[in-house]
Amino acid sequence: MSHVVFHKELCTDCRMCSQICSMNKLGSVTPASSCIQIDRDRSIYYGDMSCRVCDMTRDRACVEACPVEALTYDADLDVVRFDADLCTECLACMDECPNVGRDVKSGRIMICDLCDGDPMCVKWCPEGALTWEARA
Amino acid sequence: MKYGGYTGKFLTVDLSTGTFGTWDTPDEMAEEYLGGRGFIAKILYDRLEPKIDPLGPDNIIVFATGPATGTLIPTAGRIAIGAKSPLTNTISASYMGGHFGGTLKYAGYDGIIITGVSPKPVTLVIDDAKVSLRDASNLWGKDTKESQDILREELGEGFELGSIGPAGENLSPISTFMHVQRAAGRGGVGAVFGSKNLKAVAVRGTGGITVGTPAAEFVQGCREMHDIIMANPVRPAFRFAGTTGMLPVVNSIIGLPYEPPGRSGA
Repeated sequence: MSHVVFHKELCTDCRMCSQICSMNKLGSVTPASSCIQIDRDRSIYYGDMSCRVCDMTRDRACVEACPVEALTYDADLDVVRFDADLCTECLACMDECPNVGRDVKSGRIMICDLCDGDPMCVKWCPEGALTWEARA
Repeated sequence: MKYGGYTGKFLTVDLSTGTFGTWDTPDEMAEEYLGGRGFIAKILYDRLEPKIDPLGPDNIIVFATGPATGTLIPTAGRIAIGAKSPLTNTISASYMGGHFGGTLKYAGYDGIIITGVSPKPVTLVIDDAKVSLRDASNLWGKDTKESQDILREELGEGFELGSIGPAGENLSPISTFMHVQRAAGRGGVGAVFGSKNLKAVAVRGTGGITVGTPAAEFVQGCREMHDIIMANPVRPAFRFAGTTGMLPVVNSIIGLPYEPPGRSGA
């Protein structure tokens, strides 16, 4: 029962996380479609970063919203699974959760499966701003 | 374009007529000049007439990225901006970091070639394939931070912004083009923007970059480069202070271009 935790004081806005995530899921570097998004407060110089990624706090609303079997819950690894072949692109999951994205080019739903419990974004973060921690 | 890493086309902008087009990145240019400064040198050499005024209508501004820009390759986020320099009267290329270069490639362009002079101050807005010129009279005279704050409000989220400030508008030959707090200033490229009445450039890209190497091999290679950089003892200085973190190192090898005491006036 773990999740990705973001430490804004360590983040340098390098966006390596979005690059590796999209490369892993889509095979091309497409940060805009990544399952993890870093936003920066641009109203001031050196503004704080914030992070949008699956934080597992919505009781898997995306899985419940899915009318077909494209989204399923894997209880063994405690992750959500997505099968693009079964997806009808009804976008019900996107209505349920702001962290669900969509690839502009292919229309594929971009949903975080926590990389089977070993998230790439955490492994690639150069500054340790993303950590994989047990949920309290 | 037969090579991975490139998007295969340049955006061409004629400010005089307000028209846009694309120019296919030639395979030979990629082979011989790779990207960035090489592309700029080639494009300016081919297109500029000798002896033109750098601040006249005949100068060209070129934005150029390379095949690594915006990919997972560490430290490859940079973009080069070149023109005939008003400071040195030669071809110059200047670089800046940030996400401007990568985002331009996500929008589908290896670079931008800007010609002509706009009759009034404008902002070039690139929103994936939708390109437009937007009136920038309200930004003229404002500094780079203020201009970009106003633009962000007008255009909405997701755009990477760059602009010149009053120095560029007043054709100072040491003026910069700024992307938030990152500067491309070598050769006074900001003055060329000012001479063309091009106040700012905004870019948003939702596409991706496909690399030439198989994905798994590419990721593995990047990981190795990444680990080498992470293990370098100089890295924390860069992380803390950026380019200025190198100053003590450059100074220790007497690499700073200052005049030693006692020799001034010689």
